[in-house]
Amino acid sequence: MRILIIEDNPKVAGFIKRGLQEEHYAVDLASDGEEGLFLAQNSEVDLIILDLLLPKQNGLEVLRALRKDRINTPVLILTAKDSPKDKVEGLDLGADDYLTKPFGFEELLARVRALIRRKNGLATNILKLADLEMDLVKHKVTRGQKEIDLTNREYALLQYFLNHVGRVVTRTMLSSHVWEQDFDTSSNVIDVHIARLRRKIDDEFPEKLLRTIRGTGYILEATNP
Amino acid sequence: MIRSIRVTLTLWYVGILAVLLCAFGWILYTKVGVNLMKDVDQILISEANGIADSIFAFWQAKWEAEHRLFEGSRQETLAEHLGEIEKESIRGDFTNFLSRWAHELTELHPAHAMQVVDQNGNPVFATKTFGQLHVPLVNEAIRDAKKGRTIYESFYAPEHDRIRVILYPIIENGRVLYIVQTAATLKQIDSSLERLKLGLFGLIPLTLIFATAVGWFFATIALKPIGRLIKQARNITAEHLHERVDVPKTGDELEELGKTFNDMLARLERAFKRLRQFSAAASHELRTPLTIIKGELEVALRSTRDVQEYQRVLKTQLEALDEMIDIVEQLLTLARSEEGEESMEWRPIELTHLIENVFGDWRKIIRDKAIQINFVKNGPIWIRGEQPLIQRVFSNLLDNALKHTPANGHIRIEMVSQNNEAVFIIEDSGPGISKQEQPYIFDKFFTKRSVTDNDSTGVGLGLCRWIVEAHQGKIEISSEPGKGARFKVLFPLSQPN
Repeated sequence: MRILIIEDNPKVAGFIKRGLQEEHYAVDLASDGEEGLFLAQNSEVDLIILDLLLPKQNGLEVLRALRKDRINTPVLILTAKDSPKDKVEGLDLGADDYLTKPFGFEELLARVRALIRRKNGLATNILKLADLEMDLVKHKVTRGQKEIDLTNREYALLQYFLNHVGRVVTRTMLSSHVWEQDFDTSSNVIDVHIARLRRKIDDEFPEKLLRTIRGTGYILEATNP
Repeated sequence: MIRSIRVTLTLWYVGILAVLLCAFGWILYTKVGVNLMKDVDQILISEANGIADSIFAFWQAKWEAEHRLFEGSRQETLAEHLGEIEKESIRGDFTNFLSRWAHELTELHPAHAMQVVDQNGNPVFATKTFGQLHVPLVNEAIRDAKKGRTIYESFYAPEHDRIRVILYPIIENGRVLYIVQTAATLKQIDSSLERLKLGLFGLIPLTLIFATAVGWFFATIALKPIGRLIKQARNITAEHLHERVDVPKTGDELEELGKTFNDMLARLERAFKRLRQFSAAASHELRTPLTIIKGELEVALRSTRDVQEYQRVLKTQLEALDEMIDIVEQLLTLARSEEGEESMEWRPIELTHLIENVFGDWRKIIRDKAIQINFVKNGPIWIRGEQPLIQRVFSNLLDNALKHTPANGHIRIEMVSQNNEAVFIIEDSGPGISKQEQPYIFDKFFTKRSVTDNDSTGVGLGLCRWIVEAHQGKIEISSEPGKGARFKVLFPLSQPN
């Protein structure tokens, strides 16, 4: 899952980014409203964490512009402004959640999970396909009785596939949702990561879940329903 | 409170009126009594006088008749003669004469009585009424009368009316022949006085009751605006300090009170507003370092890190704490002068010297970053103000300039007097501030508005503006991105003393 943080204080942005990356999210940073709006409009992010007091264009203006462009990416406002009036204004402009600084990092993570879950139409934090299970809170992946150890990128890839079960996932989709903005799509990095993931989840099991659609991309689905 | 003022006012008013009315009543009563008595005395004395004259005339006539009878043979005076003829048969004539007189007298004043006694105090004649009056015969009075004085006496016998008696001696050749006693009851006087007393006893309380009502009414009217003031003042809380009481247009102390009250409200409102502004700004700006401290620590504690990472986190914590200390310090500077503009201790301050002192605080940073400082000055410049605050302005501006000037850069500072103003200019050679951001540069109270990749904090330009404006000064910024920023501060000039 790819998250865009629009936050002018580099220290605040820095620790949020690090914390989210450790949670297997791909994170992009924008330090002012203009840059944030540009990134939100021109890349497919799954969630935007938005500060309100921003240089050049404030958070509410960014939000208004996004919703006007019919970009429905979930937006979590993260700000020091804590008056009910500010909260109402933000939520009414189309924000999906509102968190005030200083905040608990676990709470931010839970809210991020909830927003992404809702975006993907899920009700629980467990993604499932056949005997493959992914616990989004504990970051545990199991197949049958066996626990599978994944790297951050592999985890993010699998999470993306599990959110798109039975649908063809292109390389472009992967590059924009699993990798950060500055990722070079022309390389074969995606193929390498996919090969490693497939080895871990499919090799030891008779039922192969992740298949390659030649020339298009990949699909994750159960073969014996 | 208002109740008791009204009660006190009314009580004082009625109390003083009661004392005055009682004194007036008492004086009236005694004065009337004395005057009525004088009237009675006058009548009695004129009666006695008349009788005495007649007696005298009677004897004179007798004597002259005798004299004609014994022409020239007898040479004794009337007085000498009287003693003799008295013993004689004339006494009957004399008594008849007196009773005629008495008859006339009692017809005129039926309540009056009369008695004539001789020099030994033996009654010669008395009207019938005299006995009814129960006039005691007092020897001392007779004795005094025999010395030739007119005696006034009042008697009060129990169960009888009060009486007034006059003893009037008839004197011939220094010898008292007879004493005329005229007497009258004082019944009428006493009943008049009694009526007057009753009238006063009735009227005074009535007047006082009326006065109480009037006093209460006027006290209520006079205090009504105060009651209104109290009612309005009670509704003004910290949340409604913008409200004012209605000033009664009475042109007196009440109007003054209303105005004073409103002035006080205005001062309170200003102080409150500033306090609220500061606490809002402070709490808002303390949130950023708090967010960093909390977030960094929480993220760091999620798993085990290597030493470099821990060091990085600790360094971030320290920087955030430094920022908080800076904010708290600025807050304290403000808190010390928070008692209001009026109470700010304004003293003459010499700016050139003050700025050189401020340089001292930053000497280490200036040396470490090898920044060249060019200070242009033209002698001592005096303004009036609160020194810690003014120093804070220069300190914040220099801090700001130092943070934005790269190593080996230069800062130009000018402190001159111009057109009756102290002009301070500081130019840095930093990245500058974009035109869009310039209007907001003074909005934050304690920290600097982030300028893209710049990470510095704690400049407090908002605080600078507040202090400068509180000193009737002005602060301006002009900057072009890439060419540094230029702050200009103006203060009204003053004298060293």
